[in-house]
Amino acid sequence: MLEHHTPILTRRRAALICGLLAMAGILSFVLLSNGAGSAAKASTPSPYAAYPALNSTEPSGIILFSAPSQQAGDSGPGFPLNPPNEAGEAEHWPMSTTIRRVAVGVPGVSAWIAESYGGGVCALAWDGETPSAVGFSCSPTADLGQGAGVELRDMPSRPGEVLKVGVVPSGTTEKTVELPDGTTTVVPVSGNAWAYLANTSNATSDSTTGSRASKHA
Amino acid sequence: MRKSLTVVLISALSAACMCGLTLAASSEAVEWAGNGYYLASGQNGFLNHKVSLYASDVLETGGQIGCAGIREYDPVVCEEYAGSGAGVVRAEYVYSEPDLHNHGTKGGTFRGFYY
Repeated sequence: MLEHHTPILTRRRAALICGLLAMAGILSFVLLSNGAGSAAKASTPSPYAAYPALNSTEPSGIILFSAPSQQAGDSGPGFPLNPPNEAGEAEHWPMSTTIRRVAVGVPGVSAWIAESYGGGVCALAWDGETPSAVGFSCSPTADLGQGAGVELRDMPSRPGEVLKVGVVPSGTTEKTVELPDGTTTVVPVSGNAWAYLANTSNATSDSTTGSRASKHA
Repeated sequence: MRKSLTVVLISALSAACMCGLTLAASSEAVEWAGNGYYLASGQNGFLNHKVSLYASDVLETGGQIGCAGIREYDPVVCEEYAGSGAGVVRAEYVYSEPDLHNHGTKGGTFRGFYY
């Protein structure tokens, strides 16, 4: 009797072990493929080397959510953890886990830098109003050296004003910004970022992120 | 033996599927403006009916500056450079309609999405 059951039990054990090994294999593949990616990244120069702000370890202050709430709340700025499901669209979206806060001198405004899913760089901005709405724009990969900029218009919290926020590579010390009246102004860059709050009705009374801003016709 | 193998395989596949579903969870994009959706310089475009949405974005395809918004709710968000794309994201759903704006100096075509 025992002689008859032993091979069956052994086969079952073998099958169980095979199954467990298969599951372990799947897990190992997932974990190792991530690790291999990290190792490859470490050994080759990062295309984002000109954006040290992306390496910040400070809290981003942005809430990453897996699904939007069904009810309006008074939460701070948030961003979807996962990208849109359309591949072409996702390329132009910030990669949520890379979002890092950048300091801008416009009171009440928060700004961030991020990598995009498509390999570009992104600028994100929040005007400080709750419930929050975060604006973003990401450069194509080919324009990584140019940076990215986003403009918030018709802000309910700031009627008559336009907020411009951007990120630029290291080595860029100032940014020429076009104003609503068609003139331009020069805004200082700090920590890869710049920002400017313009008044749409009277551009000459604009406030800026720095004291070196000047206006050019 | 076959039964054991089947159970084990089903378990392994289930685990793999759960992993995949977790990683793939993402927003459903609805392209409401596309196929040569044209806006003159300064012109706005609307979906013309309300939907439940929490994000709106634009991709310009004609070399102009595109803006996206959620009507009557949020700032209109524009790209600094043509081709970048721009969008606005809320942490909650609202019942409204997505809109687009051509912020460029000439007419152009745009693709608009909401989520």
